[in-house]
Amino acid sequence: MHLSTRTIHALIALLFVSSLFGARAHAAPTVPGSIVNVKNSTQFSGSGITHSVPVDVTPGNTLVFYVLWFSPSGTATLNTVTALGEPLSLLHNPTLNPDGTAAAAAYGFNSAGGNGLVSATFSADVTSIIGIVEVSGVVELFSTALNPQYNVPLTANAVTSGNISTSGASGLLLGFTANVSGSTAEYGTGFTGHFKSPHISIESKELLVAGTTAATFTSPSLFVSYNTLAVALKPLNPNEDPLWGEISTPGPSRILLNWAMPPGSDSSMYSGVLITGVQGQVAPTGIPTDGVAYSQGETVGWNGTAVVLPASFSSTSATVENGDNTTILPGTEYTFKAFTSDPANNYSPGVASSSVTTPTSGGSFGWTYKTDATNLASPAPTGSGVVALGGNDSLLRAVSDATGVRKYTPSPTVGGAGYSIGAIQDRPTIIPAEFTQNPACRNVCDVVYVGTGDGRVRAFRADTGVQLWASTTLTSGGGSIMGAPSVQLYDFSDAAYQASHATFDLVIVGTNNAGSATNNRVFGLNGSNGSVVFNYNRLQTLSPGIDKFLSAPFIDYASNSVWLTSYSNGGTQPSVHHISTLLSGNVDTAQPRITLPTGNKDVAVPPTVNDQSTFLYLATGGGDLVAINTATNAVATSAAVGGTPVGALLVFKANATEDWIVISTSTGVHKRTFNSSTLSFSGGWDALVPDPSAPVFSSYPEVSSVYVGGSDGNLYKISTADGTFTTLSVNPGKVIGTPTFDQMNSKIIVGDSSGRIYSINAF
Amino acid sequence: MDASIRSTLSRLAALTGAVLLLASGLAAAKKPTLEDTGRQSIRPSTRLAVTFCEVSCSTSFSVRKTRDVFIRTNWFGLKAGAHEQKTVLTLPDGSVYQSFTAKFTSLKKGATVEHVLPVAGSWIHQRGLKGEWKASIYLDGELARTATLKFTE
Repeated sequence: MHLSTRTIHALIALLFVSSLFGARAHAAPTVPGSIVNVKNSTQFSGSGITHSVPVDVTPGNTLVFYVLWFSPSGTATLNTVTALGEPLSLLHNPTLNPDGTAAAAAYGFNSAGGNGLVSATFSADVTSIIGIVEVSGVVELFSTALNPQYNVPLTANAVTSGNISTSGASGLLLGFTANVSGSTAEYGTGFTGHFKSPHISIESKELLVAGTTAATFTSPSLFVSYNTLAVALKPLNPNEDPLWGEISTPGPSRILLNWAMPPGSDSSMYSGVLITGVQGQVAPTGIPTDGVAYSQGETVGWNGTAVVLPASFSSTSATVENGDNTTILPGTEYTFKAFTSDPANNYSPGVASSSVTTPTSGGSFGWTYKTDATNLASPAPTGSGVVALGGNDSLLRAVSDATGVRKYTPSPTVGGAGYSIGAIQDRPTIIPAEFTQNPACRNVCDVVYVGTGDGRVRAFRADTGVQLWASTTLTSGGGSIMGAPSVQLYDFSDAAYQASHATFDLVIVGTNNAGSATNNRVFGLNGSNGSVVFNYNRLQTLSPGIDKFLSAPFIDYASNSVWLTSYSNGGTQPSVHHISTLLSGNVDTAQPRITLPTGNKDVAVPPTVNDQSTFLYLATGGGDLVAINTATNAVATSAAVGGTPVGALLVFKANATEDWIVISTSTGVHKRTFNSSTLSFSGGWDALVPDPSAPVFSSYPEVSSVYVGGSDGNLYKISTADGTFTTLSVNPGKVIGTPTFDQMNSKIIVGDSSGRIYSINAF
Repeated sequence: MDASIRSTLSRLAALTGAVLLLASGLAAAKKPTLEDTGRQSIRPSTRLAVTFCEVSCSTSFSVRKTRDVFIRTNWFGLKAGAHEQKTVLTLPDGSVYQSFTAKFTSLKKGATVEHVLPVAGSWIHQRGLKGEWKASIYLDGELARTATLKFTE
């Protein structure tokens, strides 16, 4: 008899039924049992949507159920399977039945055994081929593999399942193969045969060594649509489950899990726990494969059950939160399952947690996102619902400004660029889609420019993390690009620029070469492709030389020029550089440079030009605040503030002749006023914040206060009127980074030394 | 002190630093059976020296005055072939500050890997990240050594 081969889609499902019968702590048998019964059936379309096979199961035994089915429409799905009235979960089961897809799950068959039916119910009338094997003894599943091959030529006369790995020196391998063409498959070498017919063959083999194995059959004739399955069973794992403790929600995107290892256990018995999690109140169904060590974000089982946490034996609590491999949404229910793992990565059966629902808000705090390394750079909202995050772990990230959920899963090739791009220590530079000249993103996507630790400038799509281009290595000696790239936009530039640089935005950086204090350069790059537009000090022969550039340049559109600040090689070289942005090619003649009159001439923070473009402000490594006349490139005055400056200065036009300057140094946050008539700084206030971050205005143009991160775990809000401040504890004991004020959403976004990013309600 | 003496002392200081940091032998931490699997990169005979250098090598650096710290790892007795070294720098508060990864090929069972840790202008400098740091060196996923360095004012 030949079953029809008109149906293209043939599907396989497997059910694994494990008798548990109470606690799992008893000693494991050394062999997994033997096959005591085999059942099979072939039921044609017209039999209805439920196909049943009678069984008589000995209490304590295990059933392995296998089905291949197909329907005239090719769309029937397997909905449920029951054994003796108990619902079973699928190990492999397609939700639709396109070619080659299958899914799987395991189910604990807690039954006393007896007479009854194993029934498979489909979504429509089908033809099915079913095999059922009853195995004596209480066993567990090593793993399964299914090799669906539909209407493909048979190769080398072999019918082989996919490979599976087993970690123990004892076990039982079951093999099933079924086909719709009516060819009888012969048992594989080394297997014991149990049943053979024109449509289905069943075999087994004892597993004596750990390793990779598969079920194999041979075919005397061509199979048209067939499928081969391997199931490895092992003796019951004696490992005990951990015990759940309190589960709480510190925030809308954070869940704190507590657990305990089995009483009386020690680290020689268990190496730690593995925790999986899913949305909803049904516990995760995926089962980790023994012998396999999992990392966060990997999946176990068929249904994408995510590993949210591998933890060591000594750990008893951890926070699950938004990150590269985990998403925790506000106002959403989650349920977890915890497994102990022994030193050989054998897992306990798993115990489900109670369900927990995250709050929609968390008081002062909104979402969080955990990165892999210290992240003190100012986050960069794109204005289109995305926040771009640099950091120290070689990845550019983009998350939703509403939920903190990642826009893409960063990896070395997404949000990275191959192997290791190094740290991004300054705020990413965002160019909106409507303004960029980058041909891939013009009116399509925002562009993110970053300087990276490997000495390059890179452009990424903000929405996908795909790298648009990377410059060549611009530094020497293993140096980095420390400051954020500054971009002169073609659309906002005058005719002189547009004539000189048609038609691209100009990306400008200075180098931070390692091992030399005299050979640094300034590069202008084509924002569309990263090619070099100009290379200032290409020959490295400018005299005196140029020391490190450590901060972002400041572009003055009015004069088509850019200001850069640098170190000074111990005070022997100029540290302020005023370079035309109309340059092209190699430039080895000096542009205007300024040697500061201050004792310490090194400048590690970026320059800032006032609204009128009349004066430039900067701060030296010795804590001197300096004003420079932009028209004459002459130092107007300086005033001692003290401490080591941190990040960019805030400059605000107070009136026709006065600018406010707010600056952070290692001694605190300071406000000073510069009078352009008297060319002098006057006192303001000093707020004693420990090793603060750079300041940001709370809002603009009111500028009634500024925010800074402290080195004491607090976020500070400081009045611009008098320097008084209030604090919010963000993460005690950690250093809080430079905040960003998201004016559209009235949120503060800030990172810390642990690598966590926070969205905080403005206060 | 003439230049040659200064140079000699500098080199001696560097060498002393290296010798102090030489692993006393990783054999004690590794059972021979691990080697027998043929998969372990760190063998009983493997030695690793970790040095932190700027102008000279030291284990203590100023957050305000240091420009860069060159983190050098010198391997001896390695299995010849391709390797991956990961260097994880940990802050005094236990947070991971930064990781460096390098792929290299070991020839004649020896290799040197160098990473540049920027200090001037970095968060170390600007936020005063002082205290005792740890540098954990992993070879092909296996922890080979943890060294300490200190940042001071």
